[in-house]
Amino acid sequence: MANNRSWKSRLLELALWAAVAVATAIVLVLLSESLLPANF
Amino acid sequence: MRYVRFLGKLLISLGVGVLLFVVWTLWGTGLYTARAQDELEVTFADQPPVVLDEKGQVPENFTPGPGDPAFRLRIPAIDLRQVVVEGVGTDELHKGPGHYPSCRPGFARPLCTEFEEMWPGEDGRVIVSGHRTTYGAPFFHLDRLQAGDKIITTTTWGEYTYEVTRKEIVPPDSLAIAIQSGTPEIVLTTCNPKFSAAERLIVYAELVG
Repeated sequence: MANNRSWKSRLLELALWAAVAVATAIVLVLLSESLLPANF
Repeated sequence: MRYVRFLGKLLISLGVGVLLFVVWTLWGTGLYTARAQDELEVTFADQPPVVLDEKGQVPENFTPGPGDPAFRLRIPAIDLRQVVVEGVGTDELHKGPGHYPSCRPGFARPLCTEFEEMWPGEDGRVIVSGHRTTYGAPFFHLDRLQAGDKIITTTTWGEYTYEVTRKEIVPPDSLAIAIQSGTPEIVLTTCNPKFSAAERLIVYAELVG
């Protein structure tokens, strides 16, 4: 079933998951700025 | 099956996000610091020399602002060479090691001291704090310092050499080092152990020349 998907659809999904990964990293960076001590 | 596949992809994405965070924290932040240090080096070199007063003390009107270059720090034993900035707040320490300031406009408690601010060469405790893990990790190898190792400070009024006397590990909330000693010394502080903030490593060094 999945093999019938177009390459555009697969690329779009990959971009979506990449955006999720980047958003996760940004949230962690913002959290670490407030949670970690200044001279960590 | 469809939900399991979705959950699997979500977890992989979150995992990649965590990896990106680790890469940024350990190495990416160092790029920011390296660039800031380059700029600080230029600014420090362009600063006019400070003229000491008749008692040989740094004049009271020498009050660099937050993040301004304060002096240059060299520790040959651990191959460290950094421009120390004024202030120990988050933004200041992103640029490099920070000189603990007295409480005055621009510096608020607890990131300042009520005691008189001490500068290299003066009869008092010069306190410098630096990152151990992130933002270039200037104090990553601070634990390697041994008694007798040299710590050299270059200011716009002269060069002063200190010699390491001892090391100490204290709780992270200890403020004992902020108390002035009356001895001409420099105190370096950073997080301990590496990759942790559970304790604080303190290195004491006395002025030798």
